[in-house]
Amino acid sequence: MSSSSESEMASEHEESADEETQAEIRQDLKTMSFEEIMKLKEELGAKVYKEAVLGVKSAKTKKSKTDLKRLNKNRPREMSAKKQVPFLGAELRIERKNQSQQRDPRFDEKSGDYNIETFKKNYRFVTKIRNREVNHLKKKLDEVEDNNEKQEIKHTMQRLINKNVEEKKWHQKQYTLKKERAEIQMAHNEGKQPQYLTKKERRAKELVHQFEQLKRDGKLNKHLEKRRKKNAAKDRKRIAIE
Amino acid sequence: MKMSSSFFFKSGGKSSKKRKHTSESSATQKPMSEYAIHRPKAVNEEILSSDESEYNAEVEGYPLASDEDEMPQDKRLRLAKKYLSEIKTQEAEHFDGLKINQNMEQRLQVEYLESIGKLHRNIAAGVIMCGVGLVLKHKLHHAPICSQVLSADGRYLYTGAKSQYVLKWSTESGKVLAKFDVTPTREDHDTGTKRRSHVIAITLSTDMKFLALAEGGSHIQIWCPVTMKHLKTFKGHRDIVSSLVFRKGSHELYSVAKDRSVKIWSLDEMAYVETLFGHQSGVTSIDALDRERAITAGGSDCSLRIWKIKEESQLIYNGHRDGIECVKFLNDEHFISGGVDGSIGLWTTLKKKPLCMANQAHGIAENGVANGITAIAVIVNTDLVASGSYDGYVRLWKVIQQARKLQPVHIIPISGFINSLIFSIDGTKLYVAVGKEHRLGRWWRHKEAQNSIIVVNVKLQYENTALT
Repeated sequence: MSSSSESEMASEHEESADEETQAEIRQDLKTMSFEEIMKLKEELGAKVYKEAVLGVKSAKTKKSKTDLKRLNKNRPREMSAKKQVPFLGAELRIERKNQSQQRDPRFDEKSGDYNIETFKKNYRFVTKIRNREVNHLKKKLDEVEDNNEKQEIKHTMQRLINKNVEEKKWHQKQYTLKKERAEIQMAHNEGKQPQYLTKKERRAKELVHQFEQLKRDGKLNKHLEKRRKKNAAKDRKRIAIE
Repeated sequence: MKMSSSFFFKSGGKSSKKRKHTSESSATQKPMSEYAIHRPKAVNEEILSSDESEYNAEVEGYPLASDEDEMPQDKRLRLAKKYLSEIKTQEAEHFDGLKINQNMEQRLQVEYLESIGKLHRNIAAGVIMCGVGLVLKHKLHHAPICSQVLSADGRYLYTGAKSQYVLKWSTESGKVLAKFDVTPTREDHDTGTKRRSHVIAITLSTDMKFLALAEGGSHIQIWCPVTMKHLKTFKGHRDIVSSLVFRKGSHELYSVAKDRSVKIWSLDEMAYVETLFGHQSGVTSIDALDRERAITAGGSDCSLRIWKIKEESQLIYNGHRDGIECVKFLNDEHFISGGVDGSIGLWTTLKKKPLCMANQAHGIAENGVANGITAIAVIVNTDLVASGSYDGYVRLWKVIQQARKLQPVHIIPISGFINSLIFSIDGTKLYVAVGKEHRLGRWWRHKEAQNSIIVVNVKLQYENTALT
């Protein structure tokens, strides 16, 4: 009960207390015990309490900005003393929050120039996110019943998997290049003549590596079949043209 | 001269009130000559009537109470004429002709201002020498002294230190008359840890009825200085209360705290009145004279604000480069402020920038940082200002308003942190509260200093009081 009359008083002391609201306040106060009234007075302040109970005597006009305008610019500034003001530096803290949400690294100068190696290195974590996505989509595939949607889900899954594979290939290639460079450097250090690889040699190495990989996984036959089919199709085309 | 002073102040008797009225009316009256020319007849008639009434009363045997309505006015008139004639005869001894009237006018004005306490005196130029008098020490104040306040009659000094006791000293004898205990520990309501009480601010009401002190937390304690009894604790502030002041001649208490608010308390009703907002960082100091205006120093927001309490508005003064530690009213139109970078500013209420700023007033320390001002004292309505820091000297300054200058007048070598300075009302004594540490914390210690109150006797040579 006391809290309601508190809020009433606090809100109504600003407007000129009408007869009705004053009567209401007086009714509330009658029902409260003396101790409660004292507590209320202490909390609100003597000024607010007096105004609420006895009514605003002088026609209090709120000081507008024009009332507080100074005569000349050498006079001190005048402001209202009743508005709460945040601490020094509060505006700076709010500003920083707004700024940090709006940076686009593609167009922001602070991001610097595009360097593929640093980019791929920094965003390696995206493969993990893609794997998680693929798992989620697999689960979703079981739940969803519409065929079209299933097709769409399969498409997106395939795209994500393909992207991951490409990432892996790229990283593998970088790894091999790094190894080559290391060998050349070692040869330099030892004083021997370094062996530089040509494109054909690099390609050959790659194929050897691929062959061994397929053999380990057991997918060699399938791969060879695919290749034979492809080559056959190409030969047929060549013959057709001729 | 004696006649004139007694003319204004007479304790006891019905005549006291009336005399004050006559003094005011006489001050605003035209000079003696005009008065004499304009109303000679009325004067005679009135005298006759008063004589008549007296005569009648005596004859009839009725008491004078029946004609008392006429009596006071006539008596006032009679006394005013007597006073004016006295001044005239005194002036006639020195000057002749027109000059008498001018001098009389000036003299009436001076005496009127003196009676209401607003007479400006230039005494700073007359400081001959300052010598250290008593040194007040006590075992309960073994900790650095943080705050002190002098009673209005200048007989008692209350001091607070970084311990829980407040001591009451007699200024003539230098002995401790009484002490009271301000709770040995206070609970920090935010964290709940117990902290020792440091009395960092004390103030007294003019009639010695209330003593308010800040115990280093957010509570304000009210005590009776005569009976040494605790009256009330005010719990409104949300952070450490840094300074308190009473409005002169009233029971209104103004308090400021680190929570950036200024709170007004009425001690007649023992209640909180209102809060004023505006500062952007914790407020460090507040001062007030007899008007309903208070000036506060805003600490790190580098602004001074005068709060017009009735109109609920504030005037903002900028000009300090770094934080402001203390501020004092010099008179109703001027004030002095001391900053953390050692700068003392002289301001007038009509200008947003200072009239004069004395930079690095207390020199630079060994590490290249200026010594900040920790305390300022002022004799109200004069031009003498004292400032204290931790460079080992208390400096006295003279305020030259026309030339907009703060001229150094004297220095007193006192080592240690000068945590508080108070002048006695006539300016003959300066009470310096010295500590080994700063009153707000223990940044570093001056080992050679002694935690005590040093009473400095200031010898003044009174000049002719000039109205500025």
